Amino acid sequence: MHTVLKQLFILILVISQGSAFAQSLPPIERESWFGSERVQKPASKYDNESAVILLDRRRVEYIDEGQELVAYRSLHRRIHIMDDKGIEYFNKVYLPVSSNNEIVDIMARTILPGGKIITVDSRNIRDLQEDNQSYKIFAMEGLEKGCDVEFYFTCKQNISYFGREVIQNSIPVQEAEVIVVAPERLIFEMRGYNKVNSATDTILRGKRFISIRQTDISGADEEKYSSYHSNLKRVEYKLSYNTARSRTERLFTWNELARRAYDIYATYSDKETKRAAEFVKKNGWNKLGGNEVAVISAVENYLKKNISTSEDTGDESGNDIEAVIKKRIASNRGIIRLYGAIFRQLNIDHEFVLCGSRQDFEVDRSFENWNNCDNHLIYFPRLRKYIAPTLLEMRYPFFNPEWIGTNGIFCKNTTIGNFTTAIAEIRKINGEDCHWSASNIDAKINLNKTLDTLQVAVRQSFTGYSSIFYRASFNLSPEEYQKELIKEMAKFVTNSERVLNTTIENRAMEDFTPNKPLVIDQVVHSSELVERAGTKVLVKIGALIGPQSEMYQEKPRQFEMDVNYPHVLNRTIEFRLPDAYTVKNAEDLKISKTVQADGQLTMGFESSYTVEGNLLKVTISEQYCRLTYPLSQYEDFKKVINAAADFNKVILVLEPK
Amino acid sequence: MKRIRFSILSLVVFFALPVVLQAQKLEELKKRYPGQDVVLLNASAHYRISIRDNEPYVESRENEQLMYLTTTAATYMSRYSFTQSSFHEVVEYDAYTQTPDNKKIKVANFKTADLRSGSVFYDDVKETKFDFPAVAAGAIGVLNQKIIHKKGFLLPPHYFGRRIPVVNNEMTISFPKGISVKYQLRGLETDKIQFTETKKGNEIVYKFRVKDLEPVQYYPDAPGNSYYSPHVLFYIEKYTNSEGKEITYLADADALYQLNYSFIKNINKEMGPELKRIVDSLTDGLTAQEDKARRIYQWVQEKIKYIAFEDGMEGFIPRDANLVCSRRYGDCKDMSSILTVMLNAAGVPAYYTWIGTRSLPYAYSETPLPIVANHMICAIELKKDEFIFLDGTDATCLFGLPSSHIQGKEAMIAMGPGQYKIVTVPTPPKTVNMLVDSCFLQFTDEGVTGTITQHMSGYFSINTRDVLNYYSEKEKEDYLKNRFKRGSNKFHISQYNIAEKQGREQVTLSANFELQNYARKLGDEWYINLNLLKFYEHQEIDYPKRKIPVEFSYRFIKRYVTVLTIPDGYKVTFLPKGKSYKNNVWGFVMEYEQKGNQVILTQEFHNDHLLLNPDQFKEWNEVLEHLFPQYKESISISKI
Repeated sequence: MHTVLKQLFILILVISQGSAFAQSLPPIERESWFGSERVQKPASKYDNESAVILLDRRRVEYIDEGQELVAYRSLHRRIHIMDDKGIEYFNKVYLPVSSNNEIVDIMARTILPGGKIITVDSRNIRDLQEDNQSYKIFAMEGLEKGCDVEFYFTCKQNISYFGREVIQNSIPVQEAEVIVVAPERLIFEMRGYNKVNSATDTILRGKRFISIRQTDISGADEEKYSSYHSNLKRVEYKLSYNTARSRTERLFTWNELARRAYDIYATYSDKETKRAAEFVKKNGWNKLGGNEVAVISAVENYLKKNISTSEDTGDESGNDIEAVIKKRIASNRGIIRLYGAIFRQLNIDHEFVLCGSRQDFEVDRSFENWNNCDNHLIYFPRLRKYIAPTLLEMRYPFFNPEWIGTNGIFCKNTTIGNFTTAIAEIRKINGEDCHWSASNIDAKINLNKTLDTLQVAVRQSFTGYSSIFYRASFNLSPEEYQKELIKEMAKFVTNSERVLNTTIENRAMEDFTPNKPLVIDQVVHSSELVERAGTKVLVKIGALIGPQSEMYQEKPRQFEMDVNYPHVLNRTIEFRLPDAYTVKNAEDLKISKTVQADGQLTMGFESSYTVEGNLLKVTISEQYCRLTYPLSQYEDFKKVINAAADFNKVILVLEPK
Repeated sequence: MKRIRFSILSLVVFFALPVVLQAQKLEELKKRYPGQDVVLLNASAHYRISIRDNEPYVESRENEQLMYLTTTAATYMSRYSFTQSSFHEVVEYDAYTQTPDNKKIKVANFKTADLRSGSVFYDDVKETKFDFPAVAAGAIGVLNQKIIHKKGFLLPPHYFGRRIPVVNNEMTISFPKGISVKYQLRGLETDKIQFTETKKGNEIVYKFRVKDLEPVQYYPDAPGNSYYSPHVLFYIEKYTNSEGKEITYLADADALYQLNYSFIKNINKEMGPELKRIVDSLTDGLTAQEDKARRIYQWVQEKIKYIAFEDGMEGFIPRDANLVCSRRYGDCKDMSSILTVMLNAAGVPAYYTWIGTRSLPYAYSETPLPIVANHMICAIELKKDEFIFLDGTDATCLFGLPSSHIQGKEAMIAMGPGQYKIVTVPTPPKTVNMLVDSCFLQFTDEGVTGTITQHMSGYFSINTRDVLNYYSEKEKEDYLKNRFKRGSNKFHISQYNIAEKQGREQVTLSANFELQNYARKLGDEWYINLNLLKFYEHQEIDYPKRKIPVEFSYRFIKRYVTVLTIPDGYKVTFLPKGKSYKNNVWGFVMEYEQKGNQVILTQEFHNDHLLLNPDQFKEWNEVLEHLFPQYKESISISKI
């Protein structure tokens, strides 16, 4: 979170209040028990569910307390429990609260089918502190099948002028409501995502209410090839105007964010600048010559190998360039500042970029929710490439592929007189094309003399995003794990652990940048891929492409397909047949499922073979050229995925001549 | 797992040795531990036991020195932490990095938070995290702590091994002559622990030291680390108080019982009307004690959910049965509490019982310490001296079978003030735990279709019912599909059924299935491998490298019968011979037969062990060597 970015000058927002604020309870909207004191049975369509959320209400209210604008957040849920799983799911409650712990209300009760009501004693509500979050935790009492549980709490929260409430999860929701309440002068905007109703607003009792109500939200299940969180129904809100100040000046714009990012990441004290200059000199980066990529790579490799970086180091020294160089511990903010200071010393054009992720939340150009751009990139306009300063396993030009295709806030420098700041340019973050990221297999196989073992010489090679996992593992994981991985890689294609020899090429982290393939050559003996049926020999040739994910038995599809990054998988298999045998069913090797759009291949699986003498050559090409595929292409997508899974099951039958 | 936790921390301990010749040391260690990023250079814990206010008072000073061997370590291994609880309070601590050029950089920022463990909802264990600054090859991270151990009967064991190499690890205990301290060396390779005892004036010092330990191996199927990782258990046996009187502290099982009994002597003074009404309605019309016990046990299993609050002494004292009843939840002690009260009210002799689960290797007979037990259950005595053990935390356990995690362990049964029994919980034989899977299949144009039926008894049925509790109706189909999956990932199921028989003792699962592309038809011939399931493939034990035992949940017999119907007009042209093999450790049966128009493959496996020790690994693997070739045999069927 760029908490720093979002801290606001409170003074702008508050209009001076005459009287001192002296009440013990704030004059905010309060929750009270919802609905009847009897169990509320949901509609029969929910009979096979474990539980149904009857009400899920979230409310954030901003009020003036003295000279300060403060916010209170309420969460109110009532749930009908259907089975043991429902009991286990809802009998323990964790309520995230702000660290100052100013609780206005916290109530919880169970309504039993017989009509009895059990209220949780406030003495049984305990405090729990996790890394950066405090909770109130308690156990619901007396739960049995068919009961309702209900709880609500209101507490003061750290002030923020943005918010997001996800209103869908795996349990169906009968009624959800998100409400923002504020003094009349503050105008919030609210927007729903993933087919959510639009907002309504009103002014009541001198307060401005804006809300979205949604009914009958089905439970959402996780699906293969999709990002779960980004597809859930949600509501976002932000503060856009303070009419006490101006009716037209929009608050919290993207330009404003860019300006603040510049202040934080691109503004250095003289001392910091001096230290950065010394650091550049000490490492000889200023003497690397004109090749910009080489300089960027040298800086990136050094910083990522020598400085421990985490979200937040807990103290200011993690943000300070001088301290970071000395202690080699940096916060994300500190390391980004260090990159910026170094690149400025080296005269390398760069822009700070903020973005979201396809996995959860992306930047919506037309709705400036600053909470949706918590990821960092540095963009090099001359090269049109990026680095990910906070991701230690990535190197130029790699970044988290989940950020591809989302909108980035590019902070472009602009100079007015002798004052430099930044403005926001919003555009898509482009990735590389599908051929850049490949995982390939080339296998040469033959049977041993006794025809019970397949002798396999296999080369697995990976480029682009397909190489990240392997290269990172062979550099950053413990040796034991690397040995295990080598064994697993052999097993992946041969189902055997009898590895005679392994060599690995281009394993260095520095090989990312020129996109050199990470190559693993192995010689493996596999008896697992050979079976017998009387005089016939069965060779599981399809297994050489490794187990494939499948979509054979699927429920109705909810979300569009996302392949993480465009990529290809090319495989060849050369099988030297034993002299005295012929293949009975080579035609099984031919599979073709391709999908085109505008004359271009968008995805496909194709396999074919040739026979020259006793050499059987199989060529398999699988491609996913797009990042995502619309729901309308689900059947096609499934066919391609399953074509690969079908090939994996091909068994050649060898018969004596 | 469901149990009380005695909050015994795996504290990592010591005191400072001078940092000598760092560079030389670095080169030497790099050579000695190739591929390692960091080693525990020195660890020391110094316990000091004294008597204050006529009670034992224990504090320790601990020091750890981690030496980083590579640069990569810098970006990934700077994070370190220590834990504490209300029983083991860290009252002073500091940490710093000694850089290779001998500068000292202090850790400025420590962050303390609650440490959550999987099964416990709330307790008082806290973890303090920090980063060692300026980590680089040759840098040494140093952590010092002073800990007050507030309960003299809960002294933590000292473990010597780590997941990283240990160069030197030592522990000392100093105490005055008026105190008697006992110790036990546990785990494997305890011969590596050097022990010395010195007396200086009125003070006795025990010193335990281990040098050069390889990283502790990790295996997911290993028993708890106290079975194999070398450690010292130590305890105060007795002491002389200010009046010169000798106080027996933890001398034997009697003393331990006295301590345990103090936790239960004031609970459950009265039974409330709600609990009384429930007991009456459950036992209404029943006369036999066993029937009453079954009914009450089942009620607790179904109605009282496991939620554990274990803050301080909450971890030891069971809650009032009436409270547990109205809340409908509790931890193991609370379940023991409500079971004991309800059963006694129904006239069934029932007793609070302490036990150590199988995650601990200790027994009351050799180790009379609270650490032996981490769990509470209820024991009932329907016939003289024949106990049945009821574990309220196991929601699907069958009456009469112990929960699987207490098999073979010693139970301490509270019979009254000063009166207890130590009884060993039985381990059910393999015939109790049977899984029989029958799969009938026939050819189709695309592959095969058929039905699968699985009958389960004993722990197989208990576990299945337990898992099913966590699935809603709509998720059960997926569960069954994954459970029945065989042949390939093209396996589909339809029309599944879940049935319980003979009360709840047996569970039967069944489904129709379809498996495309499995059998191949080429011309007039079909080829099919009837080993749709290839058990134990790639499950050879890493022998002789592995030194750590393998744990099994229970003894069992598994039988898989696959029956193929031969299509009309076809005959079997090749039928594999099959094989049976068994040695002292285990074995299998693999049998093919043809009966009329059916070919039947029976695969059977049996296991008689709860723990397999390294000297049995070779024989275990030997069975697999005989088994795997069997999986390669397909049958062929051709037109008559």
